[in-house]
Amino acid sequence: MAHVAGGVATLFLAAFLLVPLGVILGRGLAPGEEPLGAALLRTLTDPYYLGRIGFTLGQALLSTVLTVALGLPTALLLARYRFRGKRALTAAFTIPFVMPTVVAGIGFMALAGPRGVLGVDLRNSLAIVLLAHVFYNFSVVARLVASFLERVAPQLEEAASTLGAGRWRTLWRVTLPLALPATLAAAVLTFIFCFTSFGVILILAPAAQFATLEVEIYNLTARLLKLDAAAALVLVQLLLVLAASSVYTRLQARLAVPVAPGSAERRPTAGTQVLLGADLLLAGGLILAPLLALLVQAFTGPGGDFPSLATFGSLLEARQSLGFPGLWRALANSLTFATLSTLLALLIGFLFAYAVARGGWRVLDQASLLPLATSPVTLAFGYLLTFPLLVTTFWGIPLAHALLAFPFVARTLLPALRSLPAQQLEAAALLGAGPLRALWRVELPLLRSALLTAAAFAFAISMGEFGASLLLVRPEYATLPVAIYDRLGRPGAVNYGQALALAAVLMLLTALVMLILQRRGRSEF
Amino acid sequence: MDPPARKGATLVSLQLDGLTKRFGSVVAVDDVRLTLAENETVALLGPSGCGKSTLLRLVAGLERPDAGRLLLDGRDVTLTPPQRRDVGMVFQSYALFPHLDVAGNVGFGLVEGGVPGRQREQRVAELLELVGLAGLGDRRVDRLSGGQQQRVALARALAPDPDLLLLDEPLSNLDEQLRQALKGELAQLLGVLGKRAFYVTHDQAEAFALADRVALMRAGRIVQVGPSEELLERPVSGWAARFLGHENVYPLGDHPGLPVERIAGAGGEALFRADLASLHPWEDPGDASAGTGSAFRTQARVVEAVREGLGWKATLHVPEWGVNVVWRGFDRELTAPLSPSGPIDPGGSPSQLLLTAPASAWRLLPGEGERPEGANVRTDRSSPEAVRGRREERSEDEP
Repeated sequence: MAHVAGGVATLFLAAFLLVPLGVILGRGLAPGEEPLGAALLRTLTDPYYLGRIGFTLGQALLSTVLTVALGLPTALLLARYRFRGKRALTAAFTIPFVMPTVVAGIGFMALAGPRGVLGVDLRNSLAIVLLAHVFYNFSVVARLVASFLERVAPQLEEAASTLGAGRWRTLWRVTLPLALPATLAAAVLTFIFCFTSFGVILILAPAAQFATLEVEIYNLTARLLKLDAAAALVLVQLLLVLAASSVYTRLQARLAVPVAPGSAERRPTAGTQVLLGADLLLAGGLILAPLLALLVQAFTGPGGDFPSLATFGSLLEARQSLGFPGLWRALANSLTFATLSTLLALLIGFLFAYAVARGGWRVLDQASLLPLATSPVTLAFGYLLTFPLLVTTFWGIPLAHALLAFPFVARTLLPALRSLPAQQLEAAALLGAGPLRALWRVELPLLRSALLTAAAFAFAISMGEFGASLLLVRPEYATLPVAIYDRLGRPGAVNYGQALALAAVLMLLTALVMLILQRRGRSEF
Repeated sequence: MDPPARKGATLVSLQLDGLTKRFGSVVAVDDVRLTLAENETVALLGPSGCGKSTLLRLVAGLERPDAGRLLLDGRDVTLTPPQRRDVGMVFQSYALFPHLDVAGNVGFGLVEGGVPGRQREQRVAELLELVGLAGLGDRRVDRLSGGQQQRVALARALAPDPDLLLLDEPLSNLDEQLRQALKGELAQLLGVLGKRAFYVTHDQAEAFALADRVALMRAGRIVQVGPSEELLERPVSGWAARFLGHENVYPLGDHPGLPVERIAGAGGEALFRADLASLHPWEDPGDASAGTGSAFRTQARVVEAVREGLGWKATLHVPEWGVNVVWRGFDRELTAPLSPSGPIDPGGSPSQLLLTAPASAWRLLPGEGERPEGANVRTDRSSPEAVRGRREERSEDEP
């Protein structure tokens, strides 16, 4: 039975991930009559595309450095000091991670866009791109490194102090070297996220000189129809991301450290309190400011009155002339797609986890990370090339979303499935339950909590997904993020207000899903 | 003007003066007073949770006491941070730095002490030689066996030549065989180095093997300090006696027949040292050869006898004292047969024995908080004459 599950999961991954990637590969390496690699070489020697590659790498590196510079001290403080409101703060740090890119983008628009509350227009500047990237990834670094440091035995630092090292010497000679692999792993992850940045750039810095490879691929595909060049860029991006991913997996293997019970948490001294306060104010401000600005502007009426529901009202009454739907339609689309893709992702994710845990399909375990390395735009581009007919139907978006959510589902279900004691299944078998009955009466009930977490993950991912949706969308199937981006692209205060209101709805929905996630414990991520 | 440093000149080398540490409402270390002399190894022995590790951490400076003082060679180090105490510590988990190799670990404290490169290398090599790990300096610490890690931890603590060595259950993470081997090595090493050391353990065999004196700790307090023989022979309380492995400890209140002098009003407990007692066949002719000169000669009945290795563990009922006594002995020490399968059929003839013991076998335990004093043994009722008298009465019934 595990092999049937493995077979189905493999077929699905092959059909909807490997084949589209293969088609892009073929297109990039040998389009039309040209000899192998000629088109790729032409693209790679084109100074414009070289410039795009350079910019994408440069902004990702810069964003990573800034993120680590803010995230590492925060991680150290979180892991080592005990203070009031720490739990709430740690929870707040997860907000950016689950916020859809569109919400983050609109948030920074509301903060520092042309109509922003700060009154400084940073739109189309490197600064706002970097800010948004730090906002997005800061919590990845802080949480990853902090949770690693919390597991590091406090005796290591105590040992250093009995050997004559004071606080700063211990930090320099023990704590930081220990945190290095975790910090590098978090940095590589941040680099990958920033390297494939799409929504943030499209919304905050749409000018041509800020286009990342992902944005360029989208433009080439959706606007310029230069599919060969797009395929070549996909290859370049995929190779670089895969290289970074392999660095990441290698670093993960080095994260084993001596773990000891007991907590290293101390009360901060007066000097540390100042440091702690300053750092948390900066981090908390960075996270909360755009979201607060978004809410404030969404609830501000046209006359500047606050609070007002006027923008929401205009959403409801507006008859959409240009084909893109209003609030209810977009909401209904988003919820429908999210439900479908969640069910699909759960099914495939479960089959996959079952095959790995029960059937020993080790290869699948590695393969589950592949969609993570594949960007949403790449995936959608592959679908356009491979399944031109499917894409015109309703099913394109839920399929893409399910595939993008699948790694998270698989990574959540796999450890849960592995931790089920074998004796319980053996007991069920001795009591007369065959494998299917045992699955239904024993395994699934025991996995309920993990399934719920996975479902919440998949739902949130689908609700917020932007890149693939934008490329695959037909007007009548527009999701909330696509509808928001559409409003933003139109002139006038009314459209801007509607984008804000839609973003506020999306943000609150995501927050709701996140609350369920928080209640249900954590997965591997 | 500061008085000149007189390191090692004072008789008192480490003095714990009323150290107290609370965690919330729990008093983990309660008014501990203890003095370590020069070159002395003292073991802190106690059950888990008694506060012995916390006490060690107070001495290391890893915790701050709520009350009391700590004097090292006469200087007050109560508030000195650990890095300026000149104290080496071997952690229970070893706490080796995983990002450094063996030499990096051993040399860690030397770097902090500003020892220059050449000299440092030399000292590291010297220490690795000392702990039997010569040539393993470039090994990764997670590639070492448990015993090797333990040696690295010891070498690292010793490298800066600390004034005091602290060891927190250093052998508890090793398997039994390795623990036995390392125990011997460690004892020898501590002797060779002549370093004063403070050794925390819950294993009394370890404490007795390694320490000059043992401090017995219970619920945050030190209840008894002394050389191992003193602790074993004159435990301060019933708890101490049981913790150290004595099996024959009796609350006086429950056993009015015990041959010990009671202190008016005091509860107290009495200890019977079965290791000083001998067993003889009851049928032995009435001649005075068996156990003559013994303070106690009394009848005993085997309730249960179980094989234990090459010897026996027998539970004996002693009617005169009104208690059961556990006795252990080897076959060759047995002059009377023990019924191998107990309990004895109550209807049949009970297996009767003569139990003899010197006066010192019974001790009244003074209780914690007081100094143990000489045993108050009442011998009148259990004098050889008295026992013999009763024995004669019995023998008339048994032709």
